[in-house]
Amino acid sequence: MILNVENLSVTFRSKGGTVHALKNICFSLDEGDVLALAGESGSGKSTIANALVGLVPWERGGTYELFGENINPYQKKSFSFVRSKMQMAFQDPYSSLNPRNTVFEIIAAPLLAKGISKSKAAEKAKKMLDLVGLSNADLNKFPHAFSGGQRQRIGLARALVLEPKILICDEITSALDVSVQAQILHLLNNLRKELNLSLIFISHDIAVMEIIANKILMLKNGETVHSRLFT
Amino acid sequence: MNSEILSVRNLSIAFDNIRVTDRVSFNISNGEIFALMGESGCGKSVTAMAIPRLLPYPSAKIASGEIIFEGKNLLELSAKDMYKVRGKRIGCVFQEPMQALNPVAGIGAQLLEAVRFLPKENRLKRIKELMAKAELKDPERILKSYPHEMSGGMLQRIVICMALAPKPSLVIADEPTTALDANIQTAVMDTLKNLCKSENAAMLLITHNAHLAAKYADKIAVMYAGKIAECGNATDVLNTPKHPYTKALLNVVPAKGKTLADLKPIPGSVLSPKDFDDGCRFRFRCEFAKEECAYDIKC
Repeated sequence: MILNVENLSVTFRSKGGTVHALKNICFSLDEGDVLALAGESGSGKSTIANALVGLVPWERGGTYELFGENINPYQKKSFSFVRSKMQMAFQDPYSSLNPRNTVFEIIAAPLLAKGISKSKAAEKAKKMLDLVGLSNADLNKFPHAFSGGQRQRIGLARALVLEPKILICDEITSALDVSVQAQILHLLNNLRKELNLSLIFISHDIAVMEIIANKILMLKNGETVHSRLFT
Repeated sequence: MNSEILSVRNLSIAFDNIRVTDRVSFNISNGEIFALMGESGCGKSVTAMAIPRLLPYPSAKIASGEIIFEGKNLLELSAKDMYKVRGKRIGCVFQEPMQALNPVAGIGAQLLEAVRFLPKENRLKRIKELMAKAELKDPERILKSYPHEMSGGMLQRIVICMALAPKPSLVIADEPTTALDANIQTAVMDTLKNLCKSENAAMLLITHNAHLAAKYADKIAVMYAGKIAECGNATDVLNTPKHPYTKALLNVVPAKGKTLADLKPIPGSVLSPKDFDDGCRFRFRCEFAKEECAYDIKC
């Protein structure tokens, strides 16, 4: 088991009142698994993803184990280990890439932040572009020069550049055409095999989840309503 | 036999002198649901928006063809006469309901605007009648609300009510459920279909989703790179597709029981209008392409 989460609860408090976004969610992930998080809008799928990478605060009482390490979800600095093992790709290929940065700047940003030299980062960025099916010539282009599917590939390259072991895909095919969706699903499957990745695949499309996932966690109003393995 | 209400004949549209659609022709009969299916960038929305003349002029130009709606060529109507058709005889439902409504105006005010041509005493009655048909519960509360207080599904139902309020004979629905959750998509499409049937309006449904077209359309036209690849009865087009593009498009639709190996992605992307030539435009992505496809269109 590479990931085990017990009693994950998230509560948002505002002037308008308290919203229990997640209530005692438990799940685990084995190596090579593709776990689908399903449910309608507002059911808490993306909140799980955000909580896993430390973007929303956990309620007291939850436990989080990643690659045998106990993560203290109440301490910000413990998430630096999480981010070296787990990365996210986002839904909207248009708003998730900085329009003023080149593809190189976008993909290399996580490497440069880690103190890796520019030349090595460029080399790695080229490799990642090749892996997601784009060419080296694309490195100096800006996001507006790409279609939705190509932008989603750039988002995937950025997420994979730090060589994570778990990739969270937050509705990455929802904004795409069916034909581009099929290309991205095949790409994800190839990347999973090539890089030995495990995926957390968030979607509201059951047909897509059945195709790509081997486990499913169905959510409603922040609670688990169904959890099973696909055969 | 149903009479034709819309006939698009040899319609070619150019943006800055580059042709994006090429001699597009199709007919829609009274009360019929006609789906225009294809990938993004194939010219579906451009064709649909040319009908109520909503293209961004002057960069967009009609290079050739005619759009005969209820016996009149819409391309020859004056701007003033077009006001009597657009919104009144032809209703529109767009992809993103949040952008289709004015965020600073109440829902009630916006719905009332859609029925402004009716006598004052009948306006509210007509709105409530449509809201009931669209399964919008608690109409009094909704009429006093603002768009940001509604969910995406409710907003799209409100937009559908606005489109059908003037009793149009044609509704153009441009990807009406793409921005909505999968579980709400069916409910909103059911509402749209039922309302069109009860109001006796035909529908031009723009979609890239073959499931949606299969479930709701009577006729389907498959569009690729600005041209109609195939057109016919929905069951014929979906069950016995003739054009390689239609076959390829049906092969990428995820469905229950399919595996990843069953999804065969179409390689590459849609041809840019700058690269259009006289040959088959799908030949660069087609598994059946032959040398003669470059100058002889057989499919």
